[in-house]
Amino acid sequence: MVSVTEIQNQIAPSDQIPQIHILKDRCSGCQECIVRCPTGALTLEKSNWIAVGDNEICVGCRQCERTCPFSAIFISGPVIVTPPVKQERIMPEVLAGNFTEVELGINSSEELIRAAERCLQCPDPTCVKGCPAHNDIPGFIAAAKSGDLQKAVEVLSLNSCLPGACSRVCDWNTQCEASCTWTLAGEQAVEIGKIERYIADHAAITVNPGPDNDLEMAVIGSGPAGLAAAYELRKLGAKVTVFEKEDALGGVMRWGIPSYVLPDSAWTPLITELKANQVEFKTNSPIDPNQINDLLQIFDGVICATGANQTIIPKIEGIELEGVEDAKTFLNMAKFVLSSEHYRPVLDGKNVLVIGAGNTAMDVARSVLRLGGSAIAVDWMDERYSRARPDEIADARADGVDVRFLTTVTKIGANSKGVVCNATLSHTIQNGPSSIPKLTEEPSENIEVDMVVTAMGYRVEQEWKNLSNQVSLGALQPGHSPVDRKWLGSGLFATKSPYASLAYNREHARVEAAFPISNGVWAVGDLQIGPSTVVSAMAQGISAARGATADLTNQNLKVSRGSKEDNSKPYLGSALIIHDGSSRSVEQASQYVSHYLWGYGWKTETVNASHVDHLSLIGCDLIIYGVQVEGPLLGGVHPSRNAAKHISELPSLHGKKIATFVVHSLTPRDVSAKLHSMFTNKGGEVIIGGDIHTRHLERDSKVFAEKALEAAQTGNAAFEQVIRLTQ
Amino acid sequence: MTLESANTKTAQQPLVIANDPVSTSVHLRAPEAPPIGRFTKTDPRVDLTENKYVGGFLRRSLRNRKFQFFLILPNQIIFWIVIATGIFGITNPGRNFGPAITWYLWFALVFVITAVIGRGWCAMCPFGGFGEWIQRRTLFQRTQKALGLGKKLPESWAGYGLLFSTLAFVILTFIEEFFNIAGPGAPIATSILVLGIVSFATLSFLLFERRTFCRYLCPLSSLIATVGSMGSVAGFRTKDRDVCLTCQTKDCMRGGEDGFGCPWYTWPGSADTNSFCGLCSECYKACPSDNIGLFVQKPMTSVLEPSKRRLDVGVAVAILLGLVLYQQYNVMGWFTSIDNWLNSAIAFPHYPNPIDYFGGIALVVAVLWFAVNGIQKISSKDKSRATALKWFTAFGYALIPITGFDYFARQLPKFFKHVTRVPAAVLSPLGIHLGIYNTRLLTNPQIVTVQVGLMGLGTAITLWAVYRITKTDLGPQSKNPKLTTALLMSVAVVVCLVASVLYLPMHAAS
Repeated sequence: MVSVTEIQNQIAPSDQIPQIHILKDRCSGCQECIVRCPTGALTLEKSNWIAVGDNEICVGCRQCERTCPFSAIFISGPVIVTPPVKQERIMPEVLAGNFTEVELGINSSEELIRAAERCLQCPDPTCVKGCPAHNDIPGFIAAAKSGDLQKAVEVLSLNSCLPGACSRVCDWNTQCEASCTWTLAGEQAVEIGKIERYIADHAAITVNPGPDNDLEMAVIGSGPAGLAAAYELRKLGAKVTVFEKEDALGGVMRWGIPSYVLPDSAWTPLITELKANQVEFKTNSPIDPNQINDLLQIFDGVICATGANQTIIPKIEGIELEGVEDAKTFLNMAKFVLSSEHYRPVLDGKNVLVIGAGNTAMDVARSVLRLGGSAIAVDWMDERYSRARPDEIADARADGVDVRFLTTVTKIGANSKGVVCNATLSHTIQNGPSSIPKLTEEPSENIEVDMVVTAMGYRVEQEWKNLSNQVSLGALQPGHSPVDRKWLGSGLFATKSPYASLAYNREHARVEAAFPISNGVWAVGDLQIGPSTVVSAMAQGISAARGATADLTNQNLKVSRGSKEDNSKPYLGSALIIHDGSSRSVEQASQYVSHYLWGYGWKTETVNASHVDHLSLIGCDLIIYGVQVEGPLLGGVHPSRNAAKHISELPSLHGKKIATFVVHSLTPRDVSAKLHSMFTNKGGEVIIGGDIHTRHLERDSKVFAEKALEAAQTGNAAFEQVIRLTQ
Repeated sequence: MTLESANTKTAQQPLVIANDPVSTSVHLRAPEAPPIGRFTKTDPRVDLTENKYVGGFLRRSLRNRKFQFFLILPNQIIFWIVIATGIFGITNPGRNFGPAITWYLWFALVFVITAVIGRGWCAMCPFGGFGEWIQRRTLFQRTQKALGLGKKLPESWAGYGLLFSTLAFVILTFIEEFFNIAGPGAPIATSILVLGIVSFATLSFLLFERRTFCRYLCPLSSLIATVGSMGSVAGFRTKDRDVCLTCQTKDCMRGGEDGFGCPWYTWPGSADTNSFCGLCSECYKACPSDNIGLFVQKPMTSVLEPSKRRLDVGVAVAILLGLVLYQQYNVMGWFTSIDNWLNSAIAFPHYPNPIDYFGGIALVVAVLWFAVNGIQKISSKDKSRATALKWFTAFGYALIPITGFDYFARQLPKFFKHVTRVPAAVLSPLGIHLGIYNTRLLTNPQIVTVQVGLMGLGTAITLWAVYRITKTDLGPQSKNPKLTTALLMSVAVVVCLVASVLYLPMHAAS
């Protein structure tokens, strides 16, 4: 027990070093702080089984404070960290005709080492969870620090193929750097983005195809998601053909992001590398959603990465006039003109009204200035609730864009030739982040404009939207998501930071991307979750490639039963046997079933429902799901609570063959039928259901295994014939 | 083929790299393994959930989220009836269900439950249960968002461990004696007392997270924590400590899919006493590895064996002993004279006088402190204050049995003389008069015999505890272990004798 005086003495601040305070009453010696402490300042006092700290080693990062499950530790005093290397942005005095990169990176290897030295190499790196692609950030920073840029790029290439692009267009302030231990401690983050950019600019990413896996895959779209899918598929040994509807590759990176933000040199080397590694690119090859079935006749699988291409057009009087352009058309034109060979001041002296003040609108407005014009960007939302990056808005304002929030365009007027000449701006009010802005009584303003660009973002075309059945991502809900629960042990999630919630939801989307939306078809990127970021699209592309390979090769079960000799013989099939974890009997029955399947030449993996690896789920021929019957007999029985919850959380199981068994000690009633309905709702094909009595576990399991095999191999078993093993 | 052969697993390299890239970047430090023997003595070996007779039923019950709800519900109903009858029922306390069940039956019963099960009462307590329902915004479901401020008890307070609870018990007893609530006095006084506790508990639940109230503030917590450590239910503990040490989610502490994080701030992976396991089964529900069992242990294990002894427990035992001794000598004539004299001296309205009440308790604590400190000065190799505190703590643990038995024996007169009033009070509003209102289960001399017999048993267990704890904890630190044992045993004998002999002149006073 700690006396007050002791605690007060401990709290008495030392200006020099952080002070570790451990609440001895509450510390239970679980060592969550010890295993995660970046500096090793915490150890265990074994006699009392509580943590003890060494103030001399502590840097005050407070990782321990965030991860302690019982709030039994806190740190007072300063955070010991060196200031970051400051890079200035280039703010050109004359914007017209200037298309050099605005953001400067790290200039020298000395600066790189100085930036890298700030990384704590956290044992549980929160930044990795914040990074949508889950790059091994401490890994590549360590390599960079040692001067081995090639190794650093190899680390990056494990989960990324566009480090040059990501390190320029990622919003680090809401991703990796928002999750950096220093940020969580209230300090400035390690400059992860800048370090990544330096590595990407100085060492080329390579593909290194794996052994041929006999898969022939089609990828529709060559944006970040499509390129990433092609990259990962090729790495895993597939033959890949990429279909691009435009005449040039790159998708949004080519037409949507100005070159002063993302120069082509940051991402085109990947295309060169993919081409050099036999990835076939077919430009001018638009694919209609209706043609996917035709593609499946030729290819083993199709990954759709078509993006969000339709500009959102607001309903404003005069929106159809000549001189009103959409952002996609404008940016495409601007990208073409803003190059050394094609530059002309096409907007010289022109006044351009940009509708929207999001990231796309800022790109449009800043491009207007570089084309010689002046720009006003208006958004009806309150700036506080805007989803645009604050740094983008600040940069645009610094460039000279007149950005006005709580302002909307109510009318666009035309001159006698029917061309845009003026616009009416009205004021709005927004009461909360989720409320719709309303017009106020304030008098409207009429401004003269020569051009209007609608830049309120993009949406997925309806025909593709129908196909993909977009994932809806709600707020952070631990316990109701396919995301690995280990995530929640991380200090990131104890901070209640909105970025933790964002990270969790991105991970949800990334895991979902691995699952097919129908047999042999995957949807990724903007197509899956609506307009998002380059890095999220890339991460989903990689995830889908892994999921597709697992699904189509059925070779991803982690554990097989049998001896090493048995592994040499070809397996007749693979089964993932999931037990609901609610009773010993179900687990035992699963092991019997596994045992008999293995005897029949099948490869099996038996796993508790709460530990199912998603690639195992995809990569097997047959899912066998065992549940315990629960509920009072009179009130009606049902599958165990664990099973019901797990099944409801499963991603879509399109066309997956599923066999179910229920373990009961009195009567199974209609639990098999309930399971059938639950799995059918998930898109699975239940081929057989079986009832196993606890008294005859071994016997019933054997019969069930035989029947399940028969059904799986012949494929003609009708579910209606639930095998009543106990009768 | 046998099942064992089927369990042989051979890892195969998957052809597709895992879709969990985060795990490759996590390089947690290896946790420190327990030193050999650290938990050997306190780790119970009998897991009721594995028992071939009750295991299946227990597993199903404990997994069910309604488990604790059904434990709390009957008590909740009874306690609201107690409040209602206290306010609206007849004014004769013996015939009123509220005070009758509270003071004739419940208070004695709590000691039996505690001495056998530990915090069994806490699992079914309507005070904490009510507050927790509100805090969790549900009667039994696993909710993710709590109602209230969710504050942590300030670190400086939490450092006092059980002492706030002990203080609350001392003050509550003073109030109870002052208003003659447990006498029992006017039934409405019992209602107000119960309502007061419920309100304080609910407020605490809305202010603080988890069961901060139960662990730190509840007036009964320290009594149950100390006396309960004699109990045979070890609580929820880990089955395999290695699994807990390498667990990355710690769902038992943080809360998992099906269970809340431990409301009592106890980690099953390191628990070496049953004092802080509220038997709520949340960890059992939350554990993703099915690595938690409900264990039983030999009686007295949590008194004798923990290698981590807490000063707050030692001090709490001394205070509680002082309080129960006060409740014994306060019925003597000589004490009444002193109390009256003090009251007139400081113009305090009536019994109990705060000076002799708090002073009497403090005197017992001081006597014990000086006695143990003196023995430590004579026998210990190390004369430091820290060691003196350790000795006092260890001796406090050894006095748990006599304290527990003393409280129980002190409640027996009310039980044996008046418990028959409980069914009478239940049935009389229905027009059924059984004529057992004045029926006594035992005569006064019989009650005294039972009390002295119980105290004899308590004395024997206490002396055994002093012997064992001295041998394992203090002997190695002594210059002469035998002398240490003899001296501490002498103090314990005096304490036990005083406590036991006091029952003779009390004549079963209730």
